[in-house]
Amino acid sequence: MVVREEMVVRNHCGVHARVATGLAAIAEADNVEIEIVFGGRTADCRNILDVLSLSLVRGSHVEVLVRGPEATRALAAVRELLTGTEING
Amino acid sequence: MVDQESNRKVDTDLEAKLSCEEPQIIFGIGASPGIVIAPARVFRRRTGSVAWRRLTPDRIDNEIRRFREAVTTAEQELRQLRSSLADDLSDALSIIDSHLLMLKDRMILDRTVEIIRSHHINAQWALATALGLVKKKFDAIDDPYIKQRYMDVKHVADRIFGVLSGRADEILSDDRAKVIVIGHDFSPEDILHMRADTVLGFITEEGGITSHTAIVARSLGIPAIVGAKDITCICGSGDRVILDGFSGRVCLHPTPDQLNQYREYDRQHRCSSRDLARYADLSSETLDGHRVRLAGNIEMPAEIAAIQHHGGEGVGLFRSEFDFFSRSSLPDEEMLAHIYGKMVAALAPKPVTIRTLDVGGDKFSNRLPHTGPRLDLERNPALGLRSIRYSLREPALFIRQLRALLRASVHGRLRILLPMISSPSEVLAVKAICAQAARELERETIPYDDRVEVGIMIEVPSAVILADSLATEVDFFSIGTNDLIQYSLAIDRGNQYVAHMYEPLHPAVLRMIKQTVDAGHQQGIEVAMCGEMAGDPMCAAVLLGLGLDELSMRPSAIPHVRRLLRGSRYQELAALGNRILGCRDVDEIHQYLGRYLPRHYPEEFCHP
Repeated sequence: MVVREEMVVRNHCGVHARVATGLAAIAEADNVEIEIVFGGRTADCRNILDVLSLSLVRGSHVEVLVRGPEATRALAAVRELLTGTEING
Repeated sequence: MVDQESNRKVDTDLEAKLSCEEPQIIFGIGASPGIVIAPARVFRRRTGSVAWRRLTPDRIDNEIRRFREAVTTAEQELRQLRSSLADDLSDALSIIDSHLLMLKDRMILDRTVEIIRSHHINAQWALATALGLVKKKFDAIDDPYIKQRYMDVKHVADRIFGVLSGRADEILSDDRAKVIVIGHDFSPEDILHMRADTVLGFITEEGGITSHTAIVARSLGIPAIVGAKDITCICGSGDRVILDGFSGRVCLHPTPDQLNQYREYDRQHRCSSRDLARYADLSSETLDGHRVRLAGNIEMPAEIAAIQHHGGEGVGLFRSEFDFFSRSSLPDEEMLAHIYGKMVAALAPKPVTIRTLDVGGDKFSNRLPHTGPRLDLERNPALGLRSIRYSLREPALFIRQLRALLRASVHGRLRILLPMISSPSEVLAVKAICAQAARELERETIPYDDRVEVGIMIEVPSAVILADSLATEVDFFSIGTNDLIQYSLAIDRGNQYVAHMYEPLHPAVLRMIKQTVDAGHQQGIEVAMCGEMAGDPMCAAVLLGLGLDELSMRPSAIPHVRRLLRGSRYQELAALGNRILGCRDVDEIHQYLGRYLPRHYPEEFCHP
């Protein structure tokens, strides 16, 4: 199963190390492949350095693609992580 | 020929003078609060010479195996460290998790293997090449916070280098003496190892307060200073050092007076942190009922929580630059109004003071209009196009911020603070722009508070001299001591040869503060202080005595100053202020305070 969704990054400091680590953890936990597309570039969330070097800041519009049997659940987790209202994020 | 030689001789003499054991003060950035006094252990940066070795084809598989094993060993070390940590160190745990991912990231692991195989070279050289490619990628990142994560990648690679070259973990020495460790840079894991050890604190040349190393130091409560330029060259192992993690000050070869002073601070901080917590909830009032506002300095909205935790009575200084520097594009008015409004509402009815854009000097971004090329041309940026001068030159950007501020003013008590005002005409120019922004909002029927307070920073000597005129134009003053001291004493405190002359308690500085307070009070406006000096307990008593209405500081310093305030009588503070104003030089002031403070505040300043 493949699901995709566009979202706007809301983390105050952008997608920094902790958020990027969280993305990898979701991929691992749900055994799915998560890709983030931004500015014509795609990063696989298992590669933390690729994700960091997308340089996603608060307000970046991204497209998220999730592949795998638990894709829907994983996508919801990604949405929560990137667009949640956590103040320190 | 002769001239050259004598020049060289002068140079050597100068070097000798500077390197002998004279007391010296080095300024870094306080990254984790606390004061410690101990001998230094200096780790000089290993000259980064990685050996280059060409491999015969039959050695390649072996080298790849050696590299993979090193990565596995590094991984085991990190996992072992992780499992030794308590669950409540969640920041540290998540940092180690990110390092584990970096360790096995394909840009490090696969690429190094690929380079060994295709170039027939040794693992260290291949890893250094792979790291160089990662650096190139991170150099292209605009966002300062994410860009800084390259340091994490480097720490991870250093760990692999360490395993490959069979280097023991030097910092984990079995030395029994308590020390302050000093190095070019430490990884978060280095710091986590230190805690069980005999390390009282650490100082680095690299890093900022948002580095992971600083975050870990704070969560462990290890006092730390980062960004202390050249400290590994200036300081040697065994040198006695005072580390003041509150102010970011390092005293090298301290004088007996400095030692006594800081031992007193140390005692005060260490014996009292439990007792201090209750001061978060008490009012900021002297024994005879004189009230002073103790507020916090912050640069990110999330730090509002720290102000609330420490019982701050408002924000005395919000540095608004972060929102301009940390995004893919300049923030729009909507976003700024939202961020400011939330902060103001969170603390209402307490005041939230937001300083307008203070760029220039060492702070600029290539996303801001025109700063790049112009700053390149500036020979003396501290005296150049910065701060309010920049805002007045870029009115479109300035109006955007002012409109956002005005819109946020309906959510509570917002105060607008204008930085680096040097003459009344600048205030008038800003007021005109502000009035224009207000008219626009009215036309668009967007609500704002028309009584919003506008104040100015007093941080240039001319503003002190004209304080009486300026006071008729604004609603409050806020004294920025860091710049005021630099501009009035003509000291660049980043310059190691003159930094020791940077002196907050200089009589000239104290008289300027007094003059500003008097001029403000004559016009019936509040005078605040938001420089580092305001959070230094040694200065606080004097400042309170000079009649300041608000002291704004790092949130964690608030309970310290509040306890001191609550143990004082205002009459006595005022008498102290007058007495200090009568002192002719800095030494006299230090001597007087050295006697006065322990006598009047035995709980704060005496040894057990």
